[in-house]
Amino acid sequence: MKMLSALRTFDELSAVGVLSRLAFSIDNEINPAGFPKLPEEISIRKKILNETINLLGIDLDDNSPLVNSKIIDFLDNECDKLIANVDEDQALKRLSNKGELPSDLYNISIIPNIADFYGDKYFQEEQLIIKTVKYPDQEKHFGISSDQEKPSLISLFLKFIPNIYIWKSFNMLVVGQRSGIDFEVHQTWRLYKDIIDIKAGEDLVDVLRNFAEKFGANISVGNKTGKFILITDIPKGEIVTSTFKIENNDLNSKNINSNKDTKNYSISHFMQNNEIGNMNSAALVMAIDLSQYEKYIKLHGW
Amino acid sequence: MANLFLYSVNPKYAHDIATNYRNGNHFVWCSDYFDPSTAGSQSLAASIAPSSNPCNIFHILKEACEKEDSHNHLISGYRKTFRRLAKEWLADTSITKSQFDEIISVTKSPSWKIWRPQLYVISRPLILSRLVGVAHKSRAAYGPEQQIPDLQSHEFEIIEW
Repeated sequence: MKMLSALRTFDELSAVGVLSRLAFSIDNEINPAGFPKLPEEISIRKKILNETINLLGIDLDDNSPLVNSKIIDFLDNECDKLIANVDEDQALKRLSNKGELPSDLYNISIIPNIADFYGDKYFQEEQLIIKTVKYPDQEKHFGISSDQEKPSLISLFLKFIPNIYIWKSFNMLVVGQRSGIDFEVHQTWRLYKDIIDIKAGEDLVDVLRNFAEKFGANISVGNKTGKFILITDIPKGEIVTSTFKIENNDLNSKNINSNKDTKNYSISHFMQNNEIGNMNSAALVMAIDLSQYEKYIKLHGW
Repeated sequence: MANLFLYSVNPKYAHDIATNYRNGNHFVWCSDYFDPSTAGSQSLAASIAPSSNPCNIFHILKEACEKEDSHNHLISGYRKTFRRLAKEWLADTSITKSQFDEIISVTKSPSWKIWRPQLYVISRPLILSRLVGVAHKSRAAYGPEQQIPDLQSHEFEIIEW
């Protein structure tokens, strides 16, 4: 790689350091990031600056902000030439795997069950889902986990959606699965304050758990039973039915409903395929009474 | 009497970088006043430059993000600064090439979320011994400006709105 002659005695990485510190010092002389680190760095800086001024054809007496900015841009570009190419796709995927990707960079998709549930009002709900994922008030991400007691690549987002009527204001909770920079929304719930009062900084898994306590039925999966199962093993090859009907003699009826009609429960879960062993995992499992949930959101003017 | 709190406004990505790559170490410019423009004309605060006014910076960033202003000079400046810092950290081996790639990729990405402003409310007693006063010639205007080179995550609260 061709370097400025003043830097020829340096390896590429050291040259990057000298150039970036010099650019910082021109930009702002009291920025500690611009302080020299090498014993001879001040004299090297003079040589680099002379060479840069010659190459750019700058008038020696001109030290205006515009000229400084030209020199800084030149030094930044020289730095870039010395560093191997950046693999942006891989970098963004890595960030997603760690749960550190800015959420407005996800390619968002929504499972069809959600559109089916919201029907004609889906468009409005879709906009709220996207807004919640891109600009949440609170978010929680599970990274790739080798711990079989933790979900993997799942994200939860919460956003307050205000309305001029307090009883119509709610928190939107969106839960989904990450794969690279794709985010597939599996669950979206409106949480009105009268039933789900969220405390500041509350863990979003606990918020989802509280929602399941109010609207869920007891469900048994693998060797675990409850209204909310964070993660449980299930034999490989076993299919968990996505939606099923259940009679209202469910254990949960005291909490939700006393009428005798058939209720529509939806089992929500995330399948996690384990590479080792003969078991997979199902995460964030719950059976939500959608008809009760629909009544609840209608009561709030949905 | 010195104020109990100091104020600093930074884009969200500054906190992400400090948290994910710098062991929670934040380098910040800060001020005794959140909005010096409201100070009386005899106050030192009144001579702080608008470009160093935390309240101004907050609103400029907020509006730029809301309107997705791709020519905003503050955001362009932060973008260049973060990239240059990443190069320096790569050179001094305090980050890996993979981490360098991550910082460069995010700053090049179309994310607006990372530029959203955050107000740091800093407890002055906790950082008093590390507070650096900025010399006159390096300030934007006559009014006082300060730096904290190694602010830790537990020494401030973040406010967003």
